[in-house]
Amino acid sequence: MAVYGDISGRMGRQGVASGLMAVLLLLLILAPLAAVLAFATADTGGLWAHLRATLLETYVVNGVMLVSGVVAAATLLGVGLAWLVTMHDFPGRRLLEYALILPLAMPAYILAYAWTDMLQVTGPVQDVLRQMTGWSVRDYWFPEIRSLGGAIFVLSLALFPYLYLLARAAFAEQSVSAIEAARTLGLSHAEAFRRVALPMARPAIAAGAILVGMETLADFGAVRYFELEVFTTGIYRAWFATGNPAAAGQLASLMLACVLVAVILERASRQGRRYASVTGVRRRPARTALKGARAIAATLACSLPVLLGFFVPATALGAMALNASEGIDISRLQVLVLNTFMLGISAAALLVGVAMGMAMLLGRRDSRLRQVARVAELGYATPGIVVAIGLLVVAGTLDAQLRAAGVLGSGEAGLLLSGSIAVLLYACLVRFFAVAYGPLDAAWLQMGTRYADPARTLGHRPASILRRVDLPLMRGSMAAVMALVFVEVVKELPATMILRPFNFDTLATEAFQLATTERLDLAAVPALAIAAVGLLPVVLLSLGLERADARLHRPEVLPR
Amino acid sequence: MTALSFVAVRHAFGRTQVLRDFTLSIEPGAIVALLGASGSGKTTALRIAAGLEIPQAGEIRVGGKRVTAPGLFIAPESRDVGLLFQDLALFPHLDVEGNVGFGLKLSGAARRNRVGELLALVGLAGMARLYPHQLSGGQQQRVALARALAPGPGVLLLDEPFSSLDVVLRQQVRSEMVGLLKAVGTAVLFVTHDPEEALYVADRVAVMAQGAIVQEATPDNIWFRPANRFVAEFFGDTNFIPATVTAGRAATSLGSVEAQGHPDGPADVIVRAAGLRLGHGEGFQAVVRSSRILGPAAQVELVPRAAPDGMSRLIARTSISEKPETGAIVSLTLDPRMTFVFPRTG
Repeated sequence: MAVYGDISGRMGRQGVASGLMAVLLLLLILAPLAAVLAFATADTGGLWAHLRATLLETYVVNGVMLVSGVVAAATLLGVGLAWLVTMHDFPGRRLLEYALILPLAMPAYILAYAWTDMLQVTGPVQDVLRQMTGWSVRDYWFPEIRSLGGAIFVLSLALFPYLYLLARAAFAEQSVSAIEAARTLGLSHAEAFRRVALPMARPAIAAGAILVGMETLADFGAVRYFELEVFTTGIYRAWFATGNPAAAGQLASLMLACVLVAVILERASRQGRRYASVTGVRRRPARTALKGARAIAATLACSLPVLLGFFVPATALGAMALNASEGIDISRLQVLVLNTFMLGISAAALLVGVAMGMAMLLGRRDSRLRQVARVAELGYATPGIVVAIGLLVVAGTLDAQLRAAGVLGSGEAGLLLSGSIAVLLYACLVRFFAVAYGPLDAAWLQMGTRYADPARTLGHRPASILRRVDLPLMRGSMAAVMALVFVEVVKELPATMILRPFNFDTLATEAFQLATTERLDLAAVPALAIAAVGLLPVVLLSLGLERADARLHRPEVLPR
Repeated sequence: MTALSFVAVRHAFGRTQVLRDFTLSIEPGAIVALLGASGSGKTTALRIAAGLEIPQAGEIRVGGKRVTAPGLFIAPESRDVGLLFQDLALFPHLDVEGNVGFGLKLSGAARRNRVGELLALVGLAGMARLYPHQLSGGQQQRVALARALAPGPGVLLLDEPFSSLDVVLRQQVRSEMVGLLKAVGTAVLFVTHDPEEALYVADRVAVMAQGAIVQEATPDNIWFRPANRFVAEFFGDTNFIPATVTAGRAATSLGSVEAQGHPDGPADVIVRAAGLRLGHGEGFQAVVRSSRILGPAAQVELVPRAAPDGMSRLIARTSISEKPETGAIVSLTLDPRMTFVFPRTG
């Protein structure tokens, strides 16, 4: 028998009021994105025409090459490794199955710093090469890491685990009998993969590829450090170097349009995913034990991405930090850590509060308004720099309104919101709402009226139920979400860099500034600290990996 | 004064009408079973009584006091109604004492004592510190009952209270709970889809179909005097026999039965499987097609030797000592107490 919601009709006026509040909250979260879209028709004083004639083509060409390169490499790596670990057994497989998600701890920009240090002319790799061969610097050609190829390399290493996780889950969910049937019908192991397993996993792989593509498009730290001309760096340059907000806004609105298209594609691919989960026996697939050279090759294939994406860069950063130990300013570091934690914890608390509030305002069961509310998760798919531009606009507009109303003075003193920590927190709210809302709303809905109904019949009023039943039961989910948001905020670079108050630095902005001002060695300590924090969700994830649920780390990546 | 009454309650979910002029009263201390197929609106009626759902029309009274009526709604926490949920819904973050004491407006020693009394009542003394997941299904059931009884509600609603238990446990818990509820003396309305359970547990049984009560009576009257063909057929296997009424008696090929108040002409006769008597005499002859043991009785499938229309197969239930052999030829007569005459349908 269906379980119906709580006091349906009688909630009437109260329901309308909380619905209205939810809509207001939704508008607040979407306002910066709307502000960006409003730029699409803005007048740029001819700069847009200039951009279109010159740089836009570069942005598009570089962007397409970067995205297709990273998506291709990450798909090949992610899907291949997932197939290896789900269907085969080889030395170290159990450990490597978990270790393959370690690169998630390192944001792409930190991999970029570490690999630049490794591969630059004065770095250890070329040093060894020269010592072994006796060549001098001009005697040989060496690939330049700070290039498009280099960016593809670090972004692929940073992002392939998403595809690995999704493909692994898809392979693990597949009905084994389909593959066994294929084998009895005369297909070889490899043919069964190509003709049965791969097509069945295709929707999940497509979703993962779109996700990786969007993350690549959104990257700012790595491409800026490598001095590549792509959309994110173009937006940054137009706003800050050229001082043309309208042109930056138009580029941003173009990016946002791309994001919208990608989100719709992702949604479509996710819907298609249903056919992948055909009914059938869900046994763990019988693993093929690899022997001899094949076993060694498999172990190597799985170890290499872990080494290149985590251990080698971590070691490089560690070595750099040790070498630069005299130059490290401990009191400065303390300030950075304090700022980072303060920002991370405030943002996490804010996000959990707002997401929980939104879930509660929307009542205890699914509704059309609830479906609409998921649009607010769009911010997570939007590049940080685009969110930042939107917030600059919103904060600037509000400040101008306040000045016009005479609340604020003119000039520098006339800025209340712009450059305040409040705007930075607002940006975190927009950008990471999905991280908090997705899992919290799911947990809230799953609980439904199951415990609230008995509590009411036992004489408790809604406020008392909130305190004695709802919040205690949601505690676990809220703690997990706080951790996830905290990590995202610590890793987030472009929005923090653009919106932070004057003289307010975090580990991420400090590392970025030091790295771009050629003090890579000093950037190593904050970079290592970020990677250490980034390990937290990786640990959470590996604990939940048995459930093969890739959404624990990227909870509800995109609006459903 | 009744403990709980529904007066002409109407409720719909969207376009689906769930309750239509639903009217039912429960006397203080009575145990009433609300019996119906799934989807017949039983659970909705309970939720409306508890104040967890608001009907579109009608009135609910608890202890003579109106709690739901047009323009009036008393919140569930302010009603004198306890509800035992189908899935029990014990609070997983609270121990047994926390669960049982949840609805108590007491604190400290008074609260502990009351919880202790309730736990003793349901036979769980000394288990106050355990958490729900540490308890067996039957124990969880008893904690949920103690929790619902704790505030001393004037009426207790039970939603399929035994459905989460396995068959063996169910019978044991069922008889324990009936004794306990009788001892406490609270009025009880309990919802079930199991006719046997309703007849066994309740003082009165209300049979529900399509959102309304079809018949409400004692178990004996429900069994021996069903109000219509639906109620007669709801309680297990029955046989349909065409009949013709002449002057207050219905004549069938198995003999005639009393049909006072029925107009002359064709009628439907329904006889329970247990109302078909097997014999070795003259009269209506049938061949035993199969004869199987079903619980404490035997279920016999019969094929009439000369079949009148609509009677190709009959089901009888006999005691095991009278179980016939397959292929045997028996004579059939009707037990008037389990044979019912209804107006001809269709």
